[in-house]
Amino acid sequence: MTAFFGIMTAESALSAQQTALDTISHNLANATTPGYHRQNVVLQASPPYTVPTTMGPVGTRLQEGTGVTVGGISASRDLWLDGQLQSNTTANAQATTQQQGLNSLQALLGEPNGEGLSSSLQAYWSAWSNVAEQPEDLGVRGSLLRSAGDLATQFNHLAQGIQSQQNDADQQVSTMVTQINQDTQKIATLNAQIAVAHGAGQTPNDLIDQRASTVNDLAQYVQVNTVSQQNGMLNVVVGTSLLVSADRSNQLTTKSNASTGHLDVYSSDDAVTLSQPGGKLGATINLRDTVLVNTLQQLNQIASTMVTATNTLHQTGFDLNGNPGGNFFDPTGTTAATIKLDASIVNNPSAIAASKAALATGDSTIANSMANLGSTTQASLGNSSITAYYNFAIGSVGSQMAQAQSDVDRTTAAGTFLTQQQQAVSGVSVDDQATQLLVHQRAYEAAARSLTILNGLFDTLMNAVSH
Amino acid sequence: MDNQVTLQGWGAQATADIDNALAAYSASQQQIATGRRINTPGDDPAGVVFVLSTQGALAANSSQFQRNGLIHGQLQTTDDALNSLETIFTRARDLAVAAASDGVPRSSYLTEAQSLLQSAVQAANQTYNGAYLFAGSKTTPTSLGGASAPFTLSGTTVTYNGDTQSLTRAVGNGQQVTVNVSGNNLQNMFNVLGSFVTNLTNNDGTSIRNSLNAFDSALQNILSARAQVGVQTNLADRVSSQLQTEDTTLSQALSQTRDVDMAAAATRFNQAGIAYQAAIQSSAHIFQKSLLDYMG
Repeated sequence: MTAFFGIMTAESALSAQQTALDTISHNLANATTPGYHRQNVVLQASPPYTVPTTMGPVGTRLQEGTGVTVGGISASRDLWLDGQLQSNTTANAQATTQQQGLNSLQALLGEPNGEGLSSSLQAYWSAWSNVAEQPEDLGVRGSLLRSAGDLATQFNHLAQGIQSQQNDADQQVSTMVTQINQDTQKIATLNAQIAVAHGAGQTPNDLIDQRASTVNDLAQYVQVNTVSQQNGMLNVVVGTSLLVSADRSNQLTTKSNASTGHLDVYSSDDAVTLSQPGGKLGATINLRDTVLVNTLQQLNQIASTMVTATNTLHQTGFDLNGNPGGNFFDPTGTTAATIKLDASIVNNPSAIAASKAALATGDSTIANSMANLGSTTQASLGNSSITAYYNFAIGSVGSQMAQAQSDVDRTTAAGTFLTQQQQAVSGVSVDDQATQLLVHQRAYEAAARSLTILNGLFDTLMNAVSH
Repeated sequence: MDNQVTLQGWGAQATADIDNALAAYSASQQQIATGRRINTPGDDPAGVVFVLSTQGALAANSSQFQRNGLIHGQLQTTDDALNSLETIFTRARDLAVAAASDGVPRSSYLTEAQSLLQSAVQAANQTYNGAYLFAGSKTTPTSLGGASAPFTLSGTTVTYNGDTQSLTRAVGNGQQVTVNVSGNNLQNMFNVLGSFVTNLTNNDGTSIRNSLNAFDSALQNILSARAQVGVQTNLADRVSSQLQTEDTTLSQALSQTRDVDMAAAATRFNQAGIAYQAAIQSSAHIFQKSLLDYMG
């Protein structure tokens, strides 16, 4: 045993405490860095020396401590909590996107505030009632044509609005695919760096945090499954498509669908369409291909029923000049986008067939039936009336909105709770770190003090032998 | 060192608290500003279906109420015209009674009788909003097939060019009223009146005496037509007042579903405002001190 032995031990303490202080400093620097996991220096007593001694029975050996070493720097991770946060991020982003989309649809529909189709329909039925009351009056007939024109325009406006929201969704899909590709590229790059460090026996905590943070960003857009590899890499799977395989990112592509005219998302690796990817992308595709399509189909069904039922009835009647009724709506426009008044009637109020017999101008049997068409059950609407069918469609949008709103509320609350939990485990508490700072500072001071004392001992010895 | 309180965890909670308080504040503000609990379908999906159908019923109701005003006017005009005819015809009967006695100069009644006939034709050709009142369904000139009016006078002969159809109009609540008196009900009167003019011209006292009963029964026709118009007017008016009652009931039901209870909403608004202010104030104080402040 040498006189320098204790000095070496003290020096190991200075060095270890310095590392601990550096790590606390790193933690405090990253106290507000998203995705950062608190790092902890793992201190271990270094292996003891076994030395013979003259104390005790002959042959007694002592194990004498050699100080402290840094066993490693670990990050406080709770993989289960991190996974919960990630899947909640997906659910929250999905619900929020769904809610925003439905909000736009609600605004377009303009119900129940008198800006929607229900007002136009009501005005149209009342206009027919007015004709039924005064079938001879050209002014009243002209009002009916204006109401019918307004109704058709309102249908057209709704159809265009829905199509424009679908086109917006396409643009969003395109932008999101770019974001997703950037994220998967970044994850692949980080995978490569992590594998290098892993190979050198290190745990690259900060790179792992960056990668987790990127995966979390990706999880907003799509529902992500991750598979850890032996070499520290992380594979990323969406649906059945492998988006990150080791250090390679499989980029997504978009392609216009010939039948819908909208963008489909393909995984370039296996040419599979991502139909229900979850997250923002999933919600956007769902809005575009299901919610908006359903509402448009319902409007189309109403428009088509209006055109067919109105024309059929109109043709059983006679106009003001005793001629048989023609088409009221243009029979070629049977969708919400294309419904319009027939050219034969649009500027010709006397061509409205209000009477059931030729030249029975005071008779308004047909006009009266037209006025009641809105509340008459229609086979094409599943034996529902036009009014009830439309009101149901609005209620259905409302139900989806209420569901989305409740999903947003639920996942937002869960997100806050999980963030708290995750932070409790992995976050940086300034007060805790400050306490640790004091502890390691004191330990450092103690080591320095013991070094001074050992140095004093050495001085004493040197002075004794030099005389 | 688990369960630590961290800047980010605290920040997330504070942000969520402020967001929630602000959302509640803004929602209660919107309710007060619009006066409505249901502003979008998502606010109450079942409620919105009720709101839409009730709003539709109210609009239909109000539109029907306006039409019933016109229908009332049409029946009133019909009654006025029948009243004129009754007056004309009563005067003609008085002349007939006078002319029935021999020894009176019948020719002195002729001019007035002719004038009464013309006035009666005019009254029977009256229109309401451009539609003939006594022409059955032939309410427009075009529909009369070349005739100039529902009743045309040629010599002492009055020809009816309309048809016998009753015109019905919906007045609401599934009820219909007949708004016209078909011209054929007046035909008898014109026949009697025409014959009277002819008999005066021919100085035919016997025929005039024999026609007095016919005068009575023709007058009876007019009176019963007026009675029928009265019944229909009452029906239309009764349904109109039902519509007004329903308007009140429907408006109340709509309001209960759609509108906010202002007193409760104002209270919620104040509470939400206090909660929001408390959330931002307490959050502002969160991070002011840490242990680091006391280390030196």
